[in-house]
Amino acid sequence: MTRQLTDNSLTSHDFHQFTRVLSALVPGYSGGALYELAGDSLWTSAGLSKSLEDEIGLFLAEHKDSQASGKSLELQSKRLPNDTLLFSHTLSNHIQEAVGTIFLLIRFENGVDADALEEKMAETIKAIAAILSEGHRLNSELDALADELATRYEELNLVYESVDQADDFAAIEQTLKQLVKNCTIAMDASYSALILLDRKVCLSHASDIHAIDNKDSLDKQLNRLYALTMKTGQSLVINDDNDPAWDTLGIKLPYKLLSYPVSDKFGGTLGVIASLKEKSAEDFVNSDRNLLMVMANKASKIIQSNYDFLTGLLNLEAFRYLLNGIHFPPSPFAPEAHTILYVDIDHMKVINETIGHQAGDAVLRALGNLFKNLIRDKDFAARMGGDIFGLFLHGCPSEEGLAIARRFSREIEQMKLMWDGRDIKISACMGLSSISTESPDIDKALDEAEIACKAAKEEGKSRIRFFKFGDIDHSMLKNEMWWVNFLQEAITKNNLRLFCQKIQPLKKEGLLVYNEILVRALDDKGEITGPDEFIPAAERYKLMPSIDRWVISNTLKILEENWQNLQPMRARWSINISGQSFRDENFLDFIISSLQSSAIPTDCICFEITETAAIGDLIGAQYFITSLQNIGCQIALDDFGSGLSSFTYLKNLNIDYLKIDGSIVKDISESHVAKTMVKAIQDVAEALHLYTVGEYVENEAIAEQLSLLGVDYAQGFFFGRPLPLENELENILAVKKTA
Amino acid sequence: MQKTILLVDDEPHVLRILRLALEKENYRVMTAYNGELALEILEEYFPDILISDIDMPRMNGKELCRQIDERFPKRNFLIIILTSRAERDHREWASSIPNLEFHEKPVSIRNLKLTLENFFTANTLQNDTTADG
Repeated sequence: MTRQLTDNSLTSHDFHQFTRVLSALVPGYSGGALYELAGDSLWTSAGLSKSLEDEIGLFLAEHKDSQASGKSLELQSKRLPNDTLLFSHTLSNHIQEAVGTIFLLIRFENGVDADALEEKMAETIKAIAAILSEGHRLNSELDALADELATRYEELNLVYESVDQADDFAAIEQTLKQLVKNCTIAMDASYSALILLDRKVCLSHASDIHAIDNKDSLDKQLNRLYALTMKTGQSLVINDDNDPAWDTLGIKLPYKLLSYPVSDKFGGTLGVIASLKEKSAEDFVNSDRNLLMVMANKASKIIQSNYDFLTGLLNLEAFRYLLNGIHFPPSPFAPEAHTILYVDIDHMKVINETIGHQAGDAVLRALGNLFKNLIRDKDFAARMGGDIFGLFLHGCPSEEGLAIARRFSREIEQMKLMWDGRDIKISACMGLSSISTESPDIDKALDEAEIACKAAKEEGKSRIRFFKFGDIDHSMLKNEMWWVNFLQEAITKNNLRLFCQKIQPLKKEGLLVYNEILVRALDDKGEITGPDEFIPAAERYKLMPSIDRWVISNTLKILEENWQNLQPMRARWSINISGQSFRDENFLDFIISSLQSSAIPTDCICFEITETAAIGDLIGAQYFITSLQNIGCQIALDDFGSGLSSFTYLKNLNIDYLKIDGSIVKDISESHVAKTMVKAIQDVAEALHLYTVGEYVENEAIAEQLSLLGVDYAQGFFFGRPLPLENELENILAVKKTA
Repeated sequence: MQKTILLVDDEPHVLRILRLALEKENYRVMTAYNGELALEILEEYFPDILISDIDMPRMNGKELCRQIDERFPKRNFLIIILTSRAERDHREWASSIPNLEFHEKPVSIRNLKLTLENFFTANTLQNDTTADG
């Protein structure tokens, strides 16, 4: 049997010592006994006669009722036969409750006035009882302290034992499980749970000691606690059945409840950790709450080491781990297919550099939240690093995956994000791949999604591309590899061809004729291939600088050959420089030395760089532009309006021509918005003394509108399709001759 | 049968904490403030488990173990050493002593109780097997 603390405190007195003192100091002392409240003897002095024991038993029986009620009897005395006085005194604890009774027997000699002795002894007995009670109180106090200290040691040990680091995603669950279990142990609770629905963590532990029979139902009900904590971010302590906090929570559990929010390092709430105790158990107190707080912090640390800190999505390792855990049923009759989706935010670098990294982070967080809301229970989302997200779409064959990707893409574009009063427009490119019963290789699928995403990115912004294993799209990759060989050969064997498209002045006076040089490739049958087919491959395999060099060298060569005839026309020739070339540090030297060794005057040559390439590296762009302008060349900014068009950097980039992106221009005759945008661009360009060029001018209506708005040049099918440079030169020269 | 545990520690609060906790688990607990006093008890009576601190005046835990080994080579009780010291050599001396375990201070009553339970369960099983055999 477990002994009560109070009993223990009484028995820890050294009664032998006590008896010796009494014998020496109290005349007539002939024995004593100590009884606990329940009537059991704790100590009896040696040699106490049976008849005296009976007398004590009789006394206890007489006073049983009043003692049981805890009422203190204080001093009692009784004259026994054989000239003996029996004294009794209740011993009490710190709150004056009776805890036991001390009995002392005093024998008096014949002829002694018993009444006087009784009175005289009373004070002595009271003092003895007071000493014993005090000893008892001190012992109880020490025992309580020891108990408290043991509890604190236990908490400390649990805190030390609860690991807060998990090496990889595989270890997280195990570590968190142990943490939840430790909570149950530390609180002496019946049940503990850690709920981070957002992170797909929902762990609970039921005590072995205080069995509960409704764990599953508790797991479900505690979702309410999760929802409330996510809203308030606060701890809850409910010890009372009637606590109104139950109403706030919306559930009433037959337990005492303690919960603490699990927070991220930005102070956001990730979830909740909670312990439940039976109603009969001791109340949850501050130290319990503090312990749960420590556990919540540990859980948070574990979670955050495996999740992306900015978005709260999985990190790459965790994403891979979960993907590797996907099993395909062996039955060929129930094939399964899932989609992996790579999402790469367009112009993230531009947002970071022009608006600021905090804005960039806000974009990443906003996208993280969007994906969290868009995906279903069996899906999962990760930030793979930088501005790339990865999503796993469960049970989605390729077409369904593609439909979802399109929907996500629309959602992204519809996102409203304000930063410092500025609207940030977001779009993203997406690459998709499949894993299925037939093709379950996760690493391959991840690679394919990444390739598809890169390919989409190279096509422009807001593009979606599927990498489908085994058929057309896979052959596309082969195709691109083929294109690499082909392009390398085309460069070395001169199988590239220069084309040229006229850029028409819209104003009658003072504007010079202007032609854009374009590049095409000849296939093995000698047929012309458009840039859409080989430029993506050239970009992916970093062949653009070689192509650009070829174009510059050959353009200068052909123009030089015809220069005598061309010179009087004072036409401008515009050559495209790709982003890759522009970032190639030897490229500028190449252009300058090529122009210096050419007979073509530098002021006849204009270089076009795209808006995206320029703002991707503003400082580099400024240097590039200034260097070429210093030797007399002119610079056009291409595709303005396709990227994150900002007028601010137009001021910093000292360009000569501004080419308005065709996607805006082509709608100008129908859309008021497009028209307003072109007008705004035109106004700014005029203020900055830039010439403007409208692209994609497909019909007269567009040309007319551009003209009315004051745009200087127009380029498009309405004025002429691209033609081989040699043919165009012949035409130009023929026109000149006729003229 | 009620198992007996002999606690040896010079710190009264540790003795009190352990005594209370173990008595709650229905063990019979004897206490001694140092190795010498523990040996006196051992001359009279063998506990089922001896739990001892290392750093104690008069006779420390290390010496106590050495003396036990010398005087009672047939000892069958488990010795649990409590230590607040993290150094390796505080443990290495014990590697040659069989039937001995270490527990860190501050003591986790929960872990200590587990060790005791495991020891007694294993012992019971062993005895059963021996009896059967």
